[in-house]
Amino acid sequence: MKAMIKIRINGEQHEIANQSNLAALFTLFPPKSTFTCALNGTFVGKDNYQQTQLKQGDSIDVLMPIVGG
Amino acid sequence: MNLSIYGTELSSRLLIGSALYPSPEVMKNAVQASGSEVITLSLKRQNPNAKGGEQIWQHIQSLGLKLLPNSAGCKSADEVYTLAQMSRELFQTNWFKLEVIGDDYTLQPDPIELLKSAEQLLKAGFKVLPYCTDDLVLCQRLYDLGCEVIMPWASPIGTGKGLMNPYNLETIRLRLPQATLIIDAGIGKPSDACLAMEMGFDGVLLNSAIALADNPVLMASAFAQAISAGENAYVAGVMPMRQTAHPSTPTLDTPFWHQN
Repeated sequence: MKAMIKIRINGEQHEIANQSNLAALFTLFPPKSTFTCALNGTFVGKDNYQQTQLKQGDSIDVLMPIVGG
Repeated sequence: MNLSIYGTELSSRLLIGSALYPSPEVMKNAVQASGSEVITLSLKRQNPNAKGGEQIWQHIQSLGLKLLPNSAGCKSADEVYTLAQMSRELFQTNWFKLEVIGDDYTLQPDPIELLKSAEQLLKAGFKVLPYCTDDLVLCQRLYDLGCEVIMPWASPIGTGKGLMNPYNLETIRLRLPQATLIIDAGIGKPSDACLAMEMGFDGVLLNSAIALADNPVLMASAFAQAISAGENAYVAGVMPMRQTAHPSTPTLDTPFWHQN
């Protein structure tokens, strides 16, 4: 059995298998709408999800469009 | 004449916000009534319990306007930089309405972080539209950095107080004749927008004044007319103000008067 790591998605704690990447994360926790993401405050483009490996304590922000002035 | 934003020609000089409307349908109808070709929007964390997020995005997309994402709520250049990159990926535009708030009470921009952020974003290829105070030197510095569009406030966001410092705004217009100057924030009435345009501003960006009106759709139309009237007045050339009265009707050969 793979070891698990703890990460945060939009502030909420979740567990995911160690050595998972962002693409795997979004398969396990699919965003509910059009989205874009940052890892530990740094933007990660969609083309880089596959090669972005997660580690213990990572914080992922998943953002969606909203109205604005 | 068109409004030029980084080389993009727009026939409407009104840029409109997408927030605070009573419903998405009212928002769409008001935006259409405004004739605006540019709509502002933002990014926020996905809340799994919130409904309607995707629906609102589809409503905005269906309007087919140029998107102007903002960095509302950001307080540092680093936060802005991440958000701008995320916006560019999701909204597929280099346009970015730069907001860096320095004071929560007035929502006054932080001029130090604003300059730092503008420089960072311009280097990264963004077309930056900075929201700033009506400070001439700050506007000059932003222009010198390469911001072709500068957006000084009329008064704090959402107050509807109109043009607090007409002298400052007139001075900015006078001293930065080449910049595209758009009044952003604080507009309350169509006459405020008209006055800004009469001063020679290139456009007006507003949200609350339309969205919070009793009838947002009618108010959107009123703003469109006011902005058009102000622009026409500026182009036509306002008469010089005079200290003393001058009769409009010719006085030569006036009958009856002063005969006794």
